[in-house]
Amino acid sequence: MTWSHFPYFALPAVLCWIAGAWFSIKERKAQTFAMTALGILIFFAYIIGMWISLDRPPLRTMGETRLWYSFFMPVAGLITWSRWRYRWILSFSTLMALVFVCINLFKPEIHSTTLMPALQSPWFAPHVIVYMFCYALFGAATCVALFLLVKKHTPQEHKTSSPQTLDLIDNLINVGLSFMTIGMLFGALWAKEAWGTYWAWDPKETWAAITWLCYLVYVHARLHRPTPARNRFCLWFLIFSFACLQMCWWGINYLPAAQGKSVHTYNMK
Amino acid sequence: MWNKPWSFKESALIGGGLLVVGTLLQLTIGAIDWSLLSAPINVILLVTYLLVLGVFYAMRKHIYFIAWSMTLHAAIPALLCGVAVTLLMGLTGWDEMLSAWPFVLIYIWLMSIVGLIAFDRILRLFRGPQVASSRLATFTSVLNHAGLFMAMVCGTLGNADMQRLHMTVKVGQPEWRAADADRQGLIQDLPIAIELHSFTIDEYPPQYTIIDNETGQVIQDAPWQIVQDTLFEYAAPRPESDSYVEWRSMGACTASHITALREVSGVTGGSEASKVEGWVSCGSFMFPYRALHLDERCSAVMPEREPKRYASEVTVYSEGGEKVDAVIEVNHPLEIEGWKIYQLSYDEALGRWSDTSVFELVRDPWLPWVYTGIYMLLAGALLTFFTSKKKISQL
Ligand code: HEM
Repeated sequence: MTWSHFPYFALPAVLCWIAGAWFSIKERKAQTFAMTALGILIFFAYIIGMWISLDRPPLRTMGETRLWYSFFMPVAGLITWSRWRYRWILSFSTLMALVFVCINLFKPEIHSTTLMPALQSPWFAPHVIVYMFCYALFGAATCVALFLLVKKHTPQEHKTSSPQTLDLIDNLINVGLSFMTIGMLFGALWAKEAWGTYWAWDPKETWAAITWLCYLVYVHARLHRPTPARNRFCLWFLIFSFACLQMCWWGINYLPAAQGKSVHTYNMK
Repeated sequence: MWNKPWSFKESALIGGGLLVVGTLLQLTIGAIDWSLLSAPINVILLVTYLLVLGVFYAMRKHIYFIAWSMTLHAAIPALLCGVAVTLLMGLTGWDEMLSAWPFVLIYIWLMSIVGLIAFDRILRLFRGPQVASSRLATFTSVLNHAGLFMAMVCGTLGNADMQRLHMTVKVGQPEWRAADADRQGLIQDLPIAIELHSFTIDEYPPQYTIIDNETGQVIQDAPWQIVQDTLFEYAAPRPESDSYVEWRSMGACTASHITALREVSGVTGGSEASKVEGWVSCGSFMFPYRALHLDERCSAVMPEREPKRYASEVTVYSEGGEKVDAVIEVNHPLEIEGWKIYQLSYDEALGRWSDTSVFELVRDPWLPWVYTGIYMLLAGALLTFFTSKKKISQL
């Protein structure tokens, strides 16, 4: 299995997800579940195939991490949908997954095939996979936040839908933040094993700390008695937090202040 | 402002005040020298800090500031200040921030709030009758706040007691001296000695790429397909010839005989003109690399092979008479008498023929406390995950 096989798996998977999203809007539960799950399985088969043919988990290059992101988006969407039955959540997750599939189709950045010794650790896969799942949840939460901010023009609807939708965001963020904390601490434990310090404030770690603090702000701000102004602050802050997350994920590869200092820019070699 | 009850504004002002005071301190007495905090000063500081927080907590009903510090009114702007100073560091890349007063004061304030909340939630665990679910929520809160407090405070204070030394060991020459990685390479005698038996690098199979003859840049979509015919892991160039022979001695390089086929519009060509064969090698410290000229535009080369594993076979002796045989690898440090020994480097000029291995030796007496904090945070995150499905009933 190589990247040249990617379209043959990605396109059917995306089509399944689109069908699932459409069925969920039509409130056809069995079909929604079946189509989305089928798409997830197809996509996962490709990941496993890559894993076997690369002889290592496909987690090293940006293209490979995007693979996991496109995989986890519908997974997170499906879990959220199963638990809370938001009709449009699968449309969001499909859209996000589609964006990342398209990036991988058109700009794959797939050069590296080997795994340097520092990355050969049992911590590696859980660290990155947990982070990707958290990014997917935060991505979904950000979409919902944008949706709320844009939608607010219709006052009656806003009043009725907003508190519940905010609860959805809260759930996504709470779960996402748990995963982010776990991913970050796995990273710290691993760094200790690999090079002797658990936290060195290298650019990637600094941005991870920023992102983590941002989502802590959100969680605490939402503990406070809600008012419309505070809700709006929270929604805007989520978007800001997601921007920080992008910086942490790939932005630092382009940030002048971070060049040549990070031990994390493996894909830049 | 400053009329009770205080809210966010007061907290924002305190944050701003800390930044101003921090800047003044920075300009007058200069940056913080963390190395001054080595034991026992850090222990005294920690005990004092905990006592002060404890006394503050006990007096919270009498001092308004303290009761207010434990509310979200204080916490949220404090967290925002934390975001702001860390963001500044992230955007500018100034590592000096870590010993800059404004940064550190903000973090002390954050940690003090977290510490007070931790005290409060711990005590709440033992207070009065409670329903199980709210006790679980309190317990989660303890894990989160107390775990963060422990990891941050112990990690910061313990940093000065952490020793990071670099030891360079040659095969057959036991070594017990090491250079301090943080303090200008100061040489120290250690209570442990390392004897290196062998150092090995395993490499990934060689790869072949096509480069531009003039610029040396990699050409991604070159119309050539490369087939490896023969591979010598250990080879030397045959004198006065273009070929290589197998040769297993110091300095041997990897060489392979390859055939390059030119793809003509999708079909792999068979005609003589579009087929080139010959030797390529990535070279070693003894032999130069060799490229295979394909046409006037490009050549095939073997980039330096990527390392898969570095390993040092060693015997470690301790002053206490202990003797341990071990293999030290990246991600597999050796632990002995409070020291952790990491594979750090080797003689890069010699590459896989290096007879030298460089180890990093780390001693971190505060580590168990930091780890306790980290594991509490991990447990807290798991509990948060399993208990966070609030308000579904409304839907
Ligand atoms: C591991 C990171 C953290 C998590 C997961 C977390 C989560 C929570 C949660 C769920 C609560 C509500 C439950 C309760 O009141 O006990 C809470 C309360 C609180 N947190 Fe955190 N927190 C974290 C870090 C912090 C930090 C860094 C601060 C520093 C400013 C802070 C300040 C507070 C305060 C002041 C409250 C009390 C709110 C109130 O009782 O009105 N927390 N936190």
